[in-house]
Amino acid sequence: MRTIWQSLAWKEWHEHKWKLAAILAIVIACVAMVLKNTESSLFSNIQVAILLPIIPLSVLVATSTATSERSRGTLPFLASLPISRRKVATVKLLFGIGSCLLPVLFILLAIYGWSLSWDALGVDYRTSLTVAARNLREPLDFGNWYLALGSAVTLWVVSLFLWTAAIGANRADEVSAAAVALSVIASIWLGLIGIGVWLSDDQLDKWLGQGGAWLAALAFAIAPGGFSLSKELWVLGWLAPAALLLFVVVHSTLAVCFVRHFGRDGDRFIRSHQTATRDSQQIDWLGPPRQSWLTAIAWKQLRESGPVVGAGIGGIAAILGFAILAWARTVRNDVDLRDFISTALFFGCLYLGGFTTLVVGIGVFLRDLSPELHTFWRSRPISPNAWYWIKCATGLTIVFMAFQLPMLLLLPVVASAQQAQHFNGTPDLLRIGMLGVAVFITVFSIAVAVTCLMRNAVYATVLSILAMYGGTMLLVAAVYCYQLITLDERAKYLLDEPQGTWVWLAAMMFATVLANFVAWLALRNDWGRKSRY
Amino acid sequence: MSTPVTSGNSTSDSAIDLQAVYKSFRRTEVLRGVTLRVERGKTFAFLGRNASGKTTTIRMLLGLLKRDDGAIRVLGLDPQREPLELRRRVGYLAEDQTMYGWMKIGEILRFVAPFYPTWDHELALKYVRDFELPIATKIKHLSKGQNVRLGLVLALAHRPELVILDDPALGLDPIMRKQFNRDLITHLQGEGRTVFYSSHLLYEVEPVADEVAILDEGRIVRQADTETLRRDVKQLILGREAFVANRRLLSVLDARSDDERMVVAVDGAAKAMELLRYEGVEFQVVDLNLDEIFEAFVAGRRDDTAASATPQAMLEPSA
Repeated sequence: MRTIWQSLAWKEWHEHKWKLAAILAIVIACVAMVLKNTESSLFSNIQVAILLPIIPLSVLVATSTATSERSRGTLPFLASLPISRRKVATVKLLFGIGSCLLPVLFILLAIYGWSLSWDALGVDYRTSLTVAARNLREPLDFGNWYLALGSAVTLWVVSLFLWTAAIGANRADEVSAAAVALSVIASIWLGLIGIGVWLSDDQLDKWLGQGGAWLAALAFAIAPGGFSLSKELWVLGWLAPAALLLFVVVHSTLAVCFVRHFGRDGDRFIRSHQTATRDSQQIDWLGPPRQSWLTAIAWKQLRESGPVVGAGIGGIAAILGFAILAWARTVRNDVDLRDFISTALFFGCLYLGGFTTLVVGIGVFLRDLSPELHTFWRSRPISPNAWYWIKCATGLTIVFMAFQLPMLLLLPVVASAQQAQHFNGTPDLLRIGMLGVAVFITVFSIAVAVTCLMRNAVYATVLSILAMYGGTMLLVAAVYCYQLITLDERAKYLLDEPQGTWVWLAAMMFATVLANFVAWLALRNDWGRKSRY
Repeated sequence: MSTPVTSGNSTSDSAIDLQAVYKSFRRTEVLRGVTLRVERGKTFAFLGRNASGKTTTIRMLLGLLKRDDGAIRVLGLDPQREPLELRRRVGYLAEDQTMYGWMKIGEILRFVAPFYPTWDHELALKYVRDFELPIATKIKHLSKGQNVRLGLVLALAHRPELVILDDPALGLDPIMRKQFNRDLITHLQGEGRTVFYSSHLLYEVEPVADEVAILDEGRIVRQADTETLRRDVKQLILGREAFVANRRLLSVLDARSDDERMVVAVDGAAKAMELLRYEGVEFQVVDLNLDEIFEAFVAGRRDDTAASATPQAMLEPSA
């Protein structure tokens, strides 16, 4: 018979095995993209290819660890078992962190094994390895790229995972946990950056020299993922034990916090007649019905996507604030304020807007397709076709108005600022604008399609990223095949500018149509995973 | 392959008409030739144990699932062909229905209203007041009882011709269940609506049902109006030897031994009593409630299946 630990481990293994496989696939895909690089930057590129996906994925898996039992309604069952919830939480934590770290370990071992064959082939890779090891910002100086990268990834993952899990514990669902955790993490970092920006370079050096380095080292040890960036402070030597100790203390506390609170206040909304009546003002007035089913569905989608888009706009507002601060403190004499702010806003809309679009896309049908709510709207006289297209159109319109429209309006200003500083020739604004809009629509459509099929936030996010990557690779492969078949040397420039714009646009349009068709069919015919659990 | 059904006359007498309906999920056959008819204006209790196929039947009535074979008409419409038109005329309250927790009661009423051409906003407000629902409260803060009542408001405010309730009182405490049934009688039977009430809590439907169908393992084992069922199905207490001698003459649903006597539930009680009197057998008659009738049909059939392998087993004294 299994022990309690074995039983819990068995359960968590089954809940994490596909996440682990998906993370492994994403990391392999990212590393594969840079492997064709054989020059001196190969290992530097590999470490970027590993760190870039693993950081957001660790946050994603942590939100699942923190909330999945509650979001799928299994928390009461778990609580009814004669085992301590702390044991459950501990096993969840270990498996969650493990599913993020094991793929990286596997990749590093694979690269190491592969590099041995390079020795046999006489390929010189050691220069690249040395450069990468030197450039890697990590606090534990191993003098070995594999150990250094392994430790850097571990510090990133463990820190972000524990922060996210502790903050997001017992939230209603993964989206809510991610929103709250990312807000807190972003606030901590923006606070630190704000302090750094507020002090001019001279002031900062002076301050660090006068003992401020203590505080800076300690702050980096505490900040989510900060310890892996603390190399420059680490050279101060004697700060090491204190910073390391603080890192361990803070993150152990976060782990203990999660383990102690897991499942405790899971049902914070007490469902009782008294509470419901007491908490509300008994307003005996009912507003008129929505004018039409079209406005009713649009209103619902607006209310559901609004908070996510609001959080994205809030993030951009914060970036704007810091851009103004940074401009005032650093480049006010060299760069025009309008150009500086426009550029910051443009890239804020691009990156934060892209991420928000993905989240909104996932959220459009996630709740509607949950087993609890599915019957509610399905059993109403609502056409699934209208439900699909109105919700998609509303979600897309909101993200367009919030992120893409400002981006398009800012484009001429940013382009002229960039041109003044770096570029020769006039950038093709129409081309850039079309590509930008197409990318947003494609991301949104793929997220919707994957969610309709998977009906799970974490799987939808991971598979959306994989689908976008897979689509890009398919296009590259198709062009390569075309080149092989036609023996046309010009074909290899097909994806380069300016003609590449039209190829990319056509590919994204095809992906958008295909994704929407699949999603529409899935929603209409109730295809996809029937259970999120 | 499902039998083609033409769009029928919505003014026909039957609100629901199922003819030899089959439904399987992969290799599991859930419904095996279900045939039943519900007349307009009646409260119809659809009884069955858990996993007997009640919810599957209801989902097919609403066009949420496709039948494998047979014919279905609801209010004269084929649910598979005209699901939206049908749902406009039907009120449905699902088993343990969950609604959007972030919406307030007032918001969900305003949201749902435009989907129903016959929605009566004043009536919705009246129900909200009658049911003492806090209109400005978010649904996630409602108690279970309030949640069920809100579901009932959403199912009734468009004045549906047919109301389908799928185990609506599941999970409510006895007081809440009684209140729910009282509301049901007040708001539905009083207005002469057709109610299709699925449940496995029989004592709950007994006071409100005009007609009953018992579903077991995907088959309708009995359909009759409540009074007929009570009159036809009775418990007879008679001697063991008399029972053995006359067993083939009786339509036995369930039998158990009690010392030297046999306690037997029979269908067609009037005929059985007449036969026993003719044979000169002494017996006692006990009236059964719906709960006991259901048990006799469902549990008795299972015992009977087991006992058919060893006929004497049924005659052994119970522990």
